[in-house]
Amino acid sequence: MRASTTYHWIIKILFLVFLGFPLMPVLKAQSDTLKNPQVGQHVFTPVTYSKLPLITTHFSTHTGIGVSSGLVSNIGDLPVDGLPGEVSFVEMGFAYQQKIREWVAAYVNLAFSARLGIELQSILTQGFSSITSFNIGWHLRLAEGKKSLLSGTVELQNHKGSFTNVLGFVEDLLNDNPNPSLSETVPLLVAATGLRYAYGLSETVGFKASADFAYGETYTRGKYGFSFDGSAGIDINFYPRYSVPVSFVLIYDLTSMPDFVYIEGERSQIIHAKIAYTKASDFNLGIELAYMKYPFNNQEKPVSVMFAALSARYYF
Amino acid sequence: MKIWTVAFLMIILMLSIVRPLDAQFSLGVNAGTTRMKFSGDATAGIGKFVPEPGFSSALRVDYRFTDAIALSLQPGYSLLRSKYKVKNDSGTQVIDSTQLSMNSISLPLHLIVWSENGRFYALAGMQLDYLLSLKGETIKTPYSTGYDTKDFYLYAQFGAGFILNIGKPYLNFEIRYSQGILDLTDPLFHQDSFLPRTKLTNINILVGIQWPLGRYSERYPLKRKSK
Repeated sequence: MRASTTYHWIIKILFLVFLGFPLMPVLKAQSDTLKNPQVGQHVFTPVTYSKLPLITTHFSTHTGIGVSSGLVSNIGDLPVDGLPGEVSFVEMGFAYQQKIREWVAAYVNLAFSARLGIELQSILTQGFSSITSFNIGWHLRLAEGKKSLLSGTVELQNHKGSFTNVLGFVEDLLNDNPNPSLSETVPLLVAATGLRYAYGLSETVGFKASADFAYGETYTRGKYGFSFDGSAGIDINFYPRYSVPVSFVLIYDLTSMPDFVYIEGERSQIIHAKIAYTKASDFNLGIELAYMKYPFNNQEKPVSVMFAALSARYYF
Repeated sequence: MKIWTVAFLMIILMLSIVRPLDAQFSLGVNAGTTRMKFSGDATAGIGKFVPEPGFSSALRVDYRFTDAIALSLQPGYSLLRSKYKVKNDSGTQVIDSTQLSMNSISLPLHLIVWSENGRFYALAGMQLDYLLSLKGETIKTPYSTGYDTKDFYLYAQFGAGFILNIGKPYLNFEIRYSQGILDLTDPLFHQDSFLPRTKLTNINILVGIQWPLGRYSERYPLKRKSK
């Protein structure tokens, strides 16, 4: 990571710390009554890429790695699929949401994700790509029923994508390009809005869904575009009825959000599964597994990717 | 611009009829430090932007609609500073730097949501800046010049603040994050062949005093604990 990028992140983290933690004593009294993300009688388990409609004060983090499977690469017109070469996924994120009233909260998210060619073939064809993201926004409760909850978000997303293209650099050199470029950095500013819904059918079973729409700059300079994310799934909590402190969440997600899919106009399908520890009233720790069909450059079809992350959330 | 001004005044007028005015207004002043950064693209491969501390101050007029929601208008003045470090062709060494300073009149309009204890608030809104001057001064080569850039600039803003309960007037502290939503296209920063995405980003840390007018403090008292 470059020094300027590191400095930029330190400032953002300081901003987060300044904004959030010194105000905790002022706000703590508001947060005492609601810690678990509960809708109806069901306590939901948070999943990183499928947001819940709960207006709570919480801090969450996730760290994960993944790897592609079955990448078929070409260098120019020459297929080189005889060589091994996959792409690694790395992600890390922090999120803090502060409840202001029962119906409104403010939040900031910081995230870093990277797609890294790890062997000769994928280094040449896929290079190294990374995105750093800073999102800030408001979360508002829109409607509440006995067993259901609907909320909305409005946010500003600030992304910076760095793309290293080894093959493109070599081609520039071979073609006597006067300005050969090994890497490119593209900043993106995006406005987004979203809906989150949860339905607590019983203590054991709950359903949730979310939809996000974003409009703003794309990875192509001078061009603006829409992106979206939609997810729906089931949440099963075994603790209240069976005293087994485990929950299981299964979610289908379709996304073209620029902080996840780096290619404009493409989308990824993801199946998330999460197993979490649910006994603590103010803490959730779990393992998130994802199987996704992910679009890569120079690939005719989306490639399978397996991903695993450790996620934790603390409710104040 | 004129239409928006009239529309804003009409909204204030209509809302002021709904409730007695003397219990809903507060006036104040604030001042503090700003940290301006040109975020996004630097000139490709040549340099980088470095934030520098600046100064801002503003008058503050708050109109409280309800216990939870207020509108805040804060016309003020800002001196924003930033540095552009010029690197050699290989990008390994800083060979010069340009000190940028920007004077502007700012007009932020914020929606404020107050917490139940009446002491903490979060804000979101927009700020319109009118640029008075922009100077770039190169340090090693002593010359100073002005640069043409956009007269008006627009930010989206998010922030939070709290009131320290020391009696009247109130003492308040605020931190504000401003994300510019327009691109600067000044040739100082970019080659003609490079389509830039460079925006201004500010972090403001402000201290202010605020006078609640009339029965404002009775209607919206500062509480030690939430209800």
